[in-house]
Amino acid sequence: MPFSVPDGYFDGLQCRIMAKAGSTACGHRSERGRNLPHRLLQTVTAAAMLSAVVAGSLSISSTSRERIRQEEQMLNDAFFYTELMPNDMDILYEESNYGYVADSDLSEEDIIDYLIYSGIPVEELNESDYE
Amino acid sequence: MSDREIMQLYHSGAKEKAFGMLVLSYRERLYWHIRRFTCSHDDTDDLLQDTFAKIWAALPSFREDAQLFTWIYRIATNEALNFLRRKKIRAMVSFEDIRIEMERRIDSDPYFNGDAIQRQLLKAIQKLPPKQRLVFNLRYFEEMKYEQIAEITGITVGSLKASYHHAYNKIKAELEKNF
Repeated sequence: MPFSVPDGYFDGLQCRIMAKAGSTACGHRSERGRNLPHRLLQTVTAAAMLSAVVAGSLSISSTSRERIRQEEQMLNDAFFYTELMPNDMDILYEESNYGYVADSDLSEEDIIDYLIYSGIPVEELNESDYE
Repeated sequence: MSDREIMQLYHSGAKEKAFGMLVLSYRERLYWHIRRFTCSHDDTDDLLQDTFAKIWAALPSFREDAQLFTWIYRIATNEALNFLRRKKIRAMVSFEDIRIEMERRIDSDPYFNGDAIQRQLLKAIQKLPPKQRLVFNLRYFEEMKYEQIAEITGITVGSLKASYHHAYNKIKAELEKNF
C-alpha cells in the first residue's frame, strides 16, 4: 500500500490492544515504590488492599458485565453483508463444479456463459443483477 | 507461529500469550485491510483495536470448524462495513457522499507516499460498489483465493468472480481515462 504509518505505531499497538481487550499481559508496574521508606510502603499497601476490598466486587461485576456485553454484542452483531452487499444469487450448484471457470482474465463472455449455465434467464443478465 | 499453534496454545490455558501471538500475527494484515475501507489512519487505529477486542471476547466461542484466518477477517470486515454504515447513518449521506469524502481523505492523507497512478487507483476503488470493492481488495491486494473470500463474506464463488471481473474492468476504464 502506498501509505506509511506513524513511527513505532505497530510496536506499541500490541499493548494498547491487549489493554483494551482486558488483558494484563502488557501491564507495567511502577518501580518508584521501591525507593519509598518502608513505613510509607506499608501504608500504601494497606490502603491499596483496603481499596481493593471495597472496589473489588464493583470492579469484578463491572468487568464481568462489560465482558458479557461484548460477547452478547458479538453474538448479536448482524453481519451487514446482506444489507450492504445484497446477494440475490442463490447457490447455483455444487461447489465442486466451480472449477471450470478460469481464475484470472475472465472475459465478459466467460461470465455470461457461467450465468447461463447456472440457470439465470438471459433477460436477467445485466450488470446490476450481480453488483 | 501458525494459526493451529496459536489455538493449541490458547487451549493449553495460556490464553493471553496465545492472544498476544494472534495480535502479532495479524496486526499488520488487518490494519491494511481496514485502512482500505476507512482511508484514514486514526479511524483504522480505532477499528483495529475494536476488532481485536471482539476477537478476544469471542475466542472462547470460536468453533474450529472454520479457519481462524477467515474468522478473523470476517470480524474485521464486519467492523469496517459497520463503520461505513454508521458513517452513512450519522451523516445522513449516501455512499456517493462517503466516496467523495474518502477521495478527499486520500488526497489529504499525510501518510500517503505513493505516486499519481497509485492515488488514482485508490480513488477508482472507492468508486466501486461495496461488494465489488471488498472483493477487489481481498483478491488484488491480499491475493486471497476466491474460496477464502467466499468463506469470509458468505458470497458464492461464482458471484465473487463476476464481481471481481466488473471491478477490474471499471478500474481499468477509470485509469485509462486519466493515463
